[in-house]
Amino acid sequence: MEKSRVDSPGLQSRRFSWDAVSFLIPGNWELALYTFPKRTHTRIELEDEFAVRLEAEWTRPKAKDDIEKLQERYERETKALTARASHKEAIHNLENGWMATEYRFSDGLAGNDSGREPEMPHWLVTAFHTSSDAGFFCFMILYAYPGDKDDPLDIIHLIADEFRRHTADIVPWELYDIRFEIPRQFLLQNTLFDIGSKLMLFGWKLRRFYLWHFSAANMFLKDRVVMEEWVAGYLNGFSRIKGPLFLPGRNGVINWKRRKRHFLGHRDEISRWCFNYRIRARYQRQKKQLIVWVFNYRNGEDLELIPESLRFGQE
Amino acid sequence: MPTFSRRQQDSIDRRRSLAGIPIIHENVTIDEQADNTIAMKIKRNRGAGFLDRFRPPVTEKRYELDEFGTFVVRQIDGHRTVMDVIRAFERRFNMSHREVELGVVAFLKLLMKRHILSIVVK
Repeated sequence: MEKSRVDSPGLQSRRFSWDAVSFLIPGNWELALYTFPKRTHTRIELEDEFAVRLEAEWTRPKAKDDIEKLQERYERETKALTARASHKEAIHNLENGWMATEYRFSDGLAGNDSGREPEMPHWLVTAFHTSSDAGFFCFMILYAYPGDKDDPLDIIHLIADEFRRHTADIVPWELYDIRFEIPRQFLLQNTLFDIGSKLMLFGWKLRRFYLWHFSAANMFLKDRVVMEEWVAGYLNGFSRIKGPLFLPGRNGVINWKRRKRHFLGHRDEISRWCFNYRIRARYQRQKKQLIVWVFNYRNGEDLELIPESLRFGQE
Repeated sequence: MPTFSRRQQDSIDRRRSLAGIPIIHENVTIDEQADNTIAMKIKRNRGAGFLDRFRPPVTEKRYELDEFGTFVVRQIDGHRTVMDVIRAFERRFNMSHREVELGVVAFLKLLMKRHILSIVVK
């Protein structure tokens, strides 16, 4: 049976961008978890206020055979999830080479002799996407529960219609209340999402790029607090960068000098042979957000990688 | 069914806990401060343990809240749910939902540990 899209005018959406892939999601969904299970695989989970709503995994296989194997593998793995479905229906008319199936689960009371708690009725949508050049494969599982304000069918259409693979040199990242662009070769190494501060650490050929977004910055940049002084103080207290001593500059520039005890360089810098730093800060008054980045680089050419959108602060 | 089966606990899922209503205990007094923040004072009777005999019969503890804490406590009126408080905080401070939820829930848990409030779950 074919299902067509039911337009939901109330569906508020926003773009989510992660690891050179972006798509639209309902406005109240946020990143809950991310992992890189293999070198070439990226996995994320998005949740709303109450539960995980989307699990997505994508990879960039090298051969077409890999895509077929991957599809088989994911189908096999989801069988355990979908086997008890009371109703199965293919979703057609999806854009961009997407294929999806909707599974409906009844209340689980009938024939439930497993001794487990009966499940409440829910829906599950599995979806595959393969690019035309066979260089990309994405798999998603979408969860829907009774009382949801958005139809899972609308959501999968929303995701499929606006799904983008970013192949340019500069790729966007959009999550929570932050949005920035960064060179494709900068790979996410670590994150530290704390209340009011979000740190993302990127790496490229032993260089390191630390990017902070501080929320509600108007709360700590008041009462004659100078942004550059605050940032320098924060960075000096940040335990992961030990080599330099940060000093407040002007107009969003933070200077640095080597600490006396690490006059040759900290062992972390020596092991990566990156002894230079560039630090910039900018306060976005409208969003009340403070953006700070620290680039631990090797030579002057590395600085050319910094995208235009992050080149703020004047010497 | 086994005779001595373990009694199943009433589990509270995320949806129910966020629909809970925080209520400030009666023994807590709230003082307005000059900088538009508040201080909370709680009086607690000493316990029944042996070592408690060496403590004064009533101890008073005072907690001074910052602007964020003050905003959360001012939202608590006996009707608003935890989710209502989170949404109000999100609007006021222009922060992402996820970090507001983590922050507000952690703060409410802290107040519960200090015996300042309880959350009524329906």
